[in-house]
Parts: sequence; structure tokens; C-alpha cells
Amino acid sequence: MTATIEVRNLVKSYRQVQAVAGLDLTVESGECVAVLGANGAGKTTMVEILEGFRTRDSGQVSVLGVDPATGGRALRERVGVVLQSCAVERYLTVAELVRLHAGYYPHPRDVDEVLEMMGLAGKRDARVRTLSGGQQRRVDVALGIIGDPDLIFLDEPTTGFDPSARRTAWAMVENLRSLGKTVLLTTHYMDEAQHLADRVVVMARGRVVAEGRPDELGGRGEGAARVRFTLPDGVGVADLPMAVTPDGDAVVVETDKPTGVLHELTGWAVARGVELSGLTVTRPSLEDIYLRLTGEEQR
Amino acid sequence: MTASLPTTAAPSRRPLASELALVGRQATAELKMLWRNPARAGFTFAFPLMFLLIFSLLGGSSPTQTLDGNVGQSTYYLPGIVGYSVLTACLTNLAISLTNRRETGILKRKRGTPLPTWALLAGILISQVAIALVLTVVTSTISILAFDVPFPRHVPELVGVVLLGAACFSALGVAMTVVIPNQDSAPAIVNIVVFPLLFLSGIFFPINNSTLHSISNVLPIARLQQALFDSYAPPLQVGDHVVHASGPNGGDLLVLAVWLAVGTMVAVRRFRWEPRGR
Repeated sequence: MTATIEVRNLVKSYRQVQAVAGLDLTVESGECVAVLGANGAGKTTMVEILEGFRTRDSGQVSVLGVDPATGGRALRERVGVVLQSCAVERYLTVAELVRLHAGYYPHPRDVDEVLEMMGLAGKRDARVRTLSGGQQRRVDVALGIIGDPDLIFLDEPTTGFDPSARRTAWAMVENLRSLGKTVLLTTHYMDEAQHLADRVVVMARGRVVAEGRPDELGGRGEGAARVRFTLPDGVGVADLPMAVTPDGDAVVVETDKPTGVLHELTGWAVARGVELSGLTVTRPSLEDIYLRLTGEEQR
Repeated sequence: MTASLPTTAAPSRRPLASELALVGRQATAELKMLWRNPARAGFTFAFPLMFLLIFSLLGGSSPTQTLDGNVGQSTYYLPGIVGYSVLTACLTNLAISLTNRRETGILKRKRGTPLPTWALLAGILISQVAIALVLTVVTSTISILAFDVPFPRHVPELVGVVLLGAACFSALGVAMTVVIPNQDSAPAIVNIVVFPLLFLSGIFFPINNSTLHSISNVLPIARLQQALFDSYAPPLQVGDHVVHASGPNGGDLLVLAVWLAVGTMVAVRRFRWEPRGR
């Protein structure tokens, strides 16, 4: 069985600018993959080629086993699309609009169930134009899932959401995943990728520069831990049992064996009768890794 | 990669009845959206009625001279107002609302759904035709009851001409969106095209100048007005005789059909789904 999405050596240029430059991507059935990248990294161009909005210059693309450039109506019946900018008819009520879109699909989900899921049940008879921006966006997402698609594209689905609306949207994506749907989402938010995705793909300059599980991306799982603390009063760097580097008011030890370092350090402190205030052990955050990866790419 | 990719999806069977229901729902939604937008509804319905009342009350039953003969003024204006209704309900309305939908991304969003383009456009077209027919009935009823205008002599032809006119100006409305860069400029560009068309059409006053007449003869609105006039076929006073047109003439219908074909061709070839520059 082929993967839900398969992309090989995809290239797309706008005049002189190569937006997508030899991109490879595989998304398996039931997976939730987050595509991270700065503005201009080629995320939206790639997604819009997969959605069938744009033609490619070269490369092979398969979505649910067919070429999205020629998949037509039969393919769109199986794919849900939520575009980056919210665009919905303003003079229909929420229920009228969702019902209208339900009629485009052969086996749509129940309208009231979808409105419930998106937290719009109380607004079902309100005209779309009277809703807040976040509510209109939820209508937009409702239109993306009303057809009960096998695959859903979410292009920056929570940009501009307040924190509680984001939690609601996350719960919705988790709900889709529990139904076995495949989800491809683009996002600027590291916590969103961390929370939702099985796999993170980092794009820069039209290519994939790293991919992996959110907790392992870029060697995050086994990479150096940072042990950080403030020097006790009357203690100099030379008194410490190991080499440290200054970091603001504190000092830092970078190590891939944090257990041993901590043991040595705390043993030394207890023996001396001093307190290591502000002692923390951290792994690099997804954001650190992301900035490092995209930063390297830009140099 | 060695596996070859299939290039088309297996088409699912779609019974005609469900396709027609799809178009019907789309047309109903279009009418709701028009009716609930006060500016659009007002422009579409109030303007033709306002013009009808103003011209009929101003002129009363004093005779108007046309190239073919003399006719009561209210009687002269009715086909023109119906033509104007078709023009605003279709061309003006469509050019502005489609541009808006394109620029706000609604068209692109629709394109991401299985709704076929033909069904989207058919829904829009049917709603415009329905509005044009309603306006025809309303303006005719008012004219007949209040201003002594005779009942139309060729009703099936009249309906046919309204349908052809609506199709022609809808196609031209879609074609116009091609030259409208954004929604801010839509009303201005549409009016620059529509007002000269109207004044050259014979809708507001008869064209008795032969130069203007030959210009207006190649334009669709004058031909629509003439075809409508010949469908109403009111009594024309020519010297001592009273004559009636025997229905719309083929030349007028042919010119409308040519404009319909031109509009459709431009619309199909050049239509944009997204704002420019993306």
C-alpha cells in the first residue's frame, strides 16, 4: 500500500525565485505531520501543490494514490482543505453554510455533530458576518471536515486564535486523529507541533532540512543537556570540581552525561555546605532546535 | 522511486438528479446571499423600479418618436427598464460580487471542495435569471396596471429574450472580472462600462441619430432592448396606420448570441480564482 502523501524531488519556481527546491516528503496513513518553517520557506507552496491549487515544475506527487494536478472532483471528495486565510460566505448562517458544503460530498458528516465539535452549536443560526474572527475561522475548519475526508490539510489553522480557541482547535485535531484521519498541518508554533504531531518536518529554502519525532528532532533526544546554576557567594569558578562557561549571572555545564555531572556537582556542594541556587537541567527546546536548523540553513 | 503513480482517480457515479439538486441548492444559497445583503438587494431591485416610476410618471402617455413609429412613453420605457434590470441583475451584480469573492479568497476556498466549477457557475446563473424574470414580471405588472401599458403580445418570446439576455450579460459579467484588478476598483470600472452602454442603448431615450444608431447596433444592450420591445410589440403609430412587431427579429438575437459566445470564451479562458500576485 502506498503512503497517503508521497512527494519526490518536487520543484516549483515563481519567476526567478525557487519556492520549492527538490523536496521529498512521505506521510503515512493515520499520521499527523507538522511542517515548520519561516515565512517564505515554501510551506504554503508545497501544501497548495498537494491540494491541487498549483501546478509543479517537476517532481512526483501522489495524494491518496493519485496526482493532485489531475485528481479532480473524486480526489477532492476525500480531502479536506483549510486555507491559510479564512474565507467564508458572510451572509449565510453557520448551519446554512455548513449544510451547503455538506451537500458537495457523497458521505458528509452530520452537520450538528460537526458544529458541536467545533464549539459552534450555540451559533448555528447566527449569520457568519456577525461572528468574531476566531469563530469564523472555526466555521472555516468545520467546512474542511464536513465531508468526512481521509486526509486534511490545515494551513496555519490557529494563527490569530486566543489561547482557549487554540486548545479547542487542538482538541479537534486530536479528535480527527483518533478517527484515523491523516493530517498535514503547517504552523509557526512550536508548542502546536509538539502537542499535535507524530512527526515534525522543518523546511527552509524550499527543502526539508530535518524531520523526526518532536522529542527527537535534530538530536534533541540524545543531545547535550545544560546544567545551569548560580555560583554561591564566595565561590570562584576555579573552586568548582569541573569546567563551566559563564551564562549571564549563572554558569553552565554542557554534557551528554547529566546524571554523573549532577552527582559530582551536588556531592561537592553538600560537602562544602553551599547551596546551588537556580539549579536546572534542560534539554534544548523544539524552538532552539528549529532556530539552529533554520539558522544553519541561512548561513 | 520506482512505483509509477496513477494519474486519475476512479470517477464515482453521480446520478443526474443529485447533480441537479446540487445546482438547486447552490442557486438558493446565491439568492439568500443577495437578498440578505442590503446594498446588493437594493441596487438590484430598487434601481429598476425607481427608474420605471420616474420615467413613466414624467412622460405619462405622451407619444415618443422612434425610428419605427410613435408609441406611448410608458409603453416605450417598459422594455428598456426590463433590459436595464437584466443588465444590473446580471452584469453589474456578477462582476462586483465575483470580484469580491475572488479577492477575499472565497472562490479559492470553493475550488478546494468537490463542487464542480460548472455547478458553481450554473447556480449563480440560475439565481440571476430568476431575479431577471421576477423583475420582468414586477415591472410589467406595474406598467400594465398603473400606466396603461398594453399586455405583451409575444409572452414565450419575451421569456426567451429575457433568458438569452440574462445569459449574455452574465457571461459578460464574468468576463469583466478579468480586467478588474481588485474589489476597490470594481464598482468604478463596472460603471464606466455600464453607463455609456445604457445611454447608447435606447433605454432612457430613443436613438434617432444614425451615427449613434450604428454604434449602438453592435452593442448587446440596444439589441436586447429592441428584442424586448418587439416581444412586447405595443401598437406603433406609423402615419395613419397602427402596426405591431411580429416578435423579436433574428438579427437582434444573433448579436446577443455572439456577445454571449465572446463573453463565455473570455470567461472560460481568462477567469482567475485567486487575487493577482499570488
